[in-house]
Amino acid sequence: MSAKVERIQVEPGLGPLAKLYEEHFASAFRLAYLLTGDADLAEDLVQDAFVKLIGRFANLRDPGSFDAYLKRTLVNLSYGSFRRRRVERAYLARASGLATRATDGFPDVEERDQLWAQLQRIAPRQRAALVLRYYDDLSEQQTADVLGCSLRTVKSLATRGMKAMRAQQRGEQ
Amino acid sequence: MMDLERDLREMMARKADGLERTARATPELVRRARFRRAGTAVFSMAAVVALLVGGLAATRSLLNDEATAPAGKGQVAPSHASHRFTPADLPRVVLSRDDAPPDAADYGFDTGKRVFGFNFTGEARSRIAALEGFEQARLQTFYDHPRHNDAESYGDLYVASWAVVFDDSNTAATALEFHITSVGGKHDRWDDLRRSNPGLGDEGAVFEGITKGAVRPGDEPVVYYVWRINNLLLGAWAAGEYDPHEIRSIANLMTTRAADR
Repeated sequence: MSAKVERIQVEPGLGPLAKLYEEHFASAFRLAYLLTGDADLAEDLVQDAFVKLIGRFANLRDPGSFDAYLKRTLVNLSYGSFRRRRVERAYLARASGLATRATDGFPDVEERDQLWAQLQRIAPRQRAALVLRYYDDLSEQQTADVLGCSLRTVKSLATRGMKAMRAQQRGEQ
Repeated sequence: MMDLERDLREMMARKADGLERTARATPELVRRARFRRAGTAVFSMAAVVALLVGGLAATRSLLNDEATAPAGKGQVAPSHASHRFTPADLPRVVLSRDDAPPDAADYGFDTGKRVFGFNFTGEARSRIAALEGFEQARLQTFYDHPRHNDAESYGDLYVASWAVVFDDSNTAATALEFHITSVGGKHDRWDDLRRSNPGLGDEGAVFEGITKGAVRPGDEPVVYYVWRINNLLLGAWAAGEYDPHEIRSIANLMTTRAADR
């Protein structure tokens, strides 16, 4: 890692994407990192999200809603990446004949403090709900909008996420 | 409760603040963005052409007074009104252990009338027992945890695929109507699920919302597809940490297999 995230290099030729990129990269990268636990993957997800959104941005009625679209796209992409990693691990485990836990093997966990590791072990949608609520400080309704689900589903995801975190803490004591 | 919430907030803020990374808007990103823009333009043109072609086809169909398949997003198979399904069709339509999601760690299998009503209680069970025209049913379930019935470690994902053969399309339609009423109604395991049209088969419904202990203790998100193709009733549903696209894919796959005979 070469520099602080605030340092942003934008190549000429990006047009309107450059301004959006400058404005949103840092927060999007941090969110993606908390969702995935992997800095390299987070950077890829943010780039993918920008590329996905740039095609739609011209059609957005409210350009001010870009941030919400970006968050929603990042969350959706993080599900896909998590699922791909689970599939890869499952097939590797089958090939090697080794049984692995589906939640092991996050390569970019820098400091393996317990809470961070526990957050990475809970299910993706539960983790997304906790990150959006407690890191991004979104309300339950805003979280529901980003996750594309109902208010009750958000409450359920957050409750189950916290329960899963506590269960891990009990198990590690 | 508050301690864990506070600790989580502090930990995530610390992690995010300590993060170092250069934000690089590289030529590769420029190239991909331009490609995407071009792709979007091409897609928009293709969509206009498709709408025109679709409109022409619909007009021709109406002029010819042909029966048209029901509209709906994601429809993958037309109705096969002439094909009468039999119990021998069930193994190839319902998912098997070979089709297991990659994180499946345990399995369940069942046949018979209770397949159709295992997640209902009380009056609904009695009414299912009285349904006419039932021939055979098959259910395959997948869990992501080997101890899925242990309240302390019941895992995060439950996926089910089922199908029921009735003697004709009328009894299947009656059973579907009853099933939709039961799932969509308010009772002890489902609560005001949001209903929409899945656009599968001849008719059906997809429900989304919260189950209350239908699979495991406590509330959890659920998505439930149920649809009919002639005399065959099909279901695909999941509770917990499901990927909505994956459950839709399962429903599409079952529909395709039903058509592929």
